[in-house]
Amino acid sequence: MEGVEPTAHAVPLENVLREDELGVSLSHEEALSNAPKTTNGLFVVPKIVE
Amino acid sequence: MMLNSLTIHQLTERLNSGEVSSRQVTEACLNRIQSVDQELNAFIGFDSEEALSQADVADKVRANGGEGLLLGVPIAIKDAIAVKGHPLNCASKILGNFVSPYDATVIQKLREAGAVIFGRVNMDEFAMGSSTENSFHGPSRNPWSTEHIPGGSSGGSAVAVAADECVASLGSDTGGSIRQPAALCGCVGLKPTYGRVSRYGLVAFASSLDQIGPLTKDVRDSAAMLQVIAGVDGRDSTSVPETVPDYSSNLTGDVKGLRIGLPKEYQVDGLDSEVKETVSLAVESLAERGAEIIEVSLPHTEYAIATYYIIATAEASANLARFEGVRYGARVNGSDPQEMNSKTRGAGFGEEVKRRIILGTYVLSSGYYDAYYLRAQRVRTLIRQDYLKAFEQVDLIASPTTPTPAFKIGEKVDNPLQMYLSDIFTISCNLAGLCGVSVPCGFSKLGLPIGFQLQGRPFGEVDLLRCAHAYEQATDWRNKKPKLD
Repeated sequence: MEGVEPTAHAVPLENVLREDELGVSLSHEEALSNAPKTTNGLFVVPKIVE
Repeated sequence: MMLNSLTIHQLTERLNSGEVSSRQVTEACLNRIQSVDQELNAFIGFDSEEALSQADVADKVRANGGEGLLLGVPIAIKDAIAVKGHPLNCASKILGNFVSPYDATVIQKLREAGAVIFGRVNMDEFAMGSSTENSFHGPSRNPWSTEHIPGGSSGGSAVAVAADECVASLGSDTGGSIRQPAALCGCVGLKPTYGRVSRYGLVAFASSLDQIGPLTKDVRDSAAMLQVIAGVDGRDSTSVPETVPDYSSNLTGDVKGLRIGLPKEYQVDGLDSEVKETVSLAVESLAERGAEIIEVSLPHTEYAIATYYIIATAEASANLARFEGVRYGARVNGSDPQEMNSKTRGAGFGEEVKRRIILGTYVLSSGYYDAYYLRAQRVRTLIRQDYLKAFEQVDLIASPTTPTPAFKIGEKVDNPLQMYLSDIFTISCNLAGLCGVSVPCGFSKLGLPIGFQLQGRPFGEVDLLRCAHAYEQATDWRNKKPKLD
């Protein structure tokens, strides 16, 4: 195993980047639509800090 | 003639000539589901009205001179692929009432091609399994013998096609999850090269191994489906900007001079003699048509399963961390987020999923990462090198798809390691980043289908499909149908 490089993924791609162009994204409502609990457009979870 | 039993190309001919309508074929599929799915359990859900209205749209488009490679064809979708407005559950309890707010790229492509996206089909939970017994909805059954498994994880996808409940389906393959159920159910299952098809909208199991692919009634249909779903996608940075060739026009039936490799390490102990015999006949058939058969060696084959179950579970443990009831899915409350997380996951995940998450977390943990995960990645390099070296001598590699025909439902659930061994011939294809296809090549004495697998070079689907098609056309297996009713 000496000198064998690890394979993280089997494709000849590195640092795949694109221009930071604005595209379509989920609306606020869509993004929250499956949440178990929301309030004021936020996800609600049990209290994190005392 | 049962419209639902037609292939995509047969159906398209009749749709174009006006002999049948998309509504009629969609109705035929829905009727078929009514009559057989109670027992087979391929479909987790479907919306008849919505499917029929898509069919009507397709019929109108066609009447107005519109076109599409899959115009009006009803296609079933594995429950791991996002379809806007449809539930998405990965056959798990943990996703609760999740309804997808977006379409996966492959679904967008199917829509652009005019397909009728219809129904969600069963799978092993989060694609973890080889039998579709790990589903929250119970197992799907092999249409050739309902006491037997259909394979997994894309079991529902294979059953739906084999039982003519749809014309074609989409599945996903991480270690064989398209090819193995295709083999066990007697249909064609294609795993495209990693990066050939966008994973955007596929719920991730192992991000360096997953690939979406078609399950179809014949190879021509597989080529048509691949044509539609292949292509680089800006939303999947692991998709490769490789040109998409014309797969269908390359199905010439010619295999003269094609060099086919038989790996000597695939003569494993657990290989069923009927499978061995049947697959040999398939190889002979290709030799008779001019292919050259050459023995090759893939020396690291014996490490493939261990390598896979370290890498795949490690990646899965990371990918499934998101299911904790915060932003979506079912939630079990707790006094703090930590408790909510562990209660939600404890209640929501099935046993096999938990097993793999624990295993994956362990191999990535501090002190063990080098010994397990990193080491497995090195073995992965060696496995890939084995194949690339073999492909210097041959164009394709042939083998059985599975070591045995389908086993009985319940037979291996108590022995997960035994279950893992059934992936021996399919797993390396994902590790090495190749393409692979399973085609029917016969039946066991009990009447269970046997699959013949071809593996090709990365982005070598043209040769892969050409060879598979040539073999298929020299036989009659695709016209055999299971006896249901």
